[in-house]
Amino acid sequence: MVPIGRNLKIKAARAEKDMTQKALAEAVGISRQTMNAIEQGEFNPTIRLCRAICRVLGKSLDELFGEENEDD
Amino acid sequence: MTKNAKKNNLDEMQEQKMLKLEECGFWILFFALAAAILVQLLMGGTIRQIAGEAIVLLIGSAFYAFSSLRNGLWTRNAVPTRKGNVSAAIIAALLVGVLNMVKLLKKPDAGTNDILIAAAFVAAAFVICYIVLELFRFVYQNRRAKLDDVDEKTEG
Repeated sequence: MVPIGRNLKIKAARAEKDMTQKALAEAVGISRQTMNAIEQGEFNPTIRLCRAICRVLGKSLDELFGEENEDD
Repeated sequence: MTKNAKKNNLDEMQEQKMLKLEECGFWILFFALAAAILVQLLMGGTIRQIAGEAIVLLIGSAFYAFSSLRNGLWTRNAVPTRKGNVSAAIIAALLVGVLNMVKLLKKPDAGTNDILIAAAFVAAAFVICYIVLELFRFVYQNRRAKLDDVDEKTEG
């Protein structure tokens, strides 16, 4: 499996919305452990979860999960 | 139990971890059960004595094998080949051979007849295992082709 890098875009988008990891996790219906794993690049979420995160943060898939994130 | 007993409380990462743990649990139970049967047979246990464990192992194995075939799956790391099936059948025959050898060594009055019967068991194990695996390979290939064909039609 191709390793995924840390996703700093989610963290930045969260900060824009003044949301904690816990608040975002609750909004998309996952645990904080999972949210943290996504941000740390330790868990590769399904497209359904990616879209839910994008919807809550008001961003597009490309903005949060675009390829440039892999180099971060 | 609460009203929401059937609701899945796990998110997708927890679900994946749970599946991984369940998979590990399955294989531990599978090999422990197989080892328990082997040890009992090596210690002189009869078919009647190991019947319970053997039935459980057979039911579990049959479910796993047929479910995998129905979904067009073989193993993660290998594709079915005749050579691979011959190798697996040889391993099964060797296992039966070792079991029979231990039984013969324990039998002080073992004669040519006993050796011939043991050899017949080894040969039968090889032939049955090979035929079953080849049958599985045939079913797998047909099922795989059918599933891939459906996907292609849906795509168009």
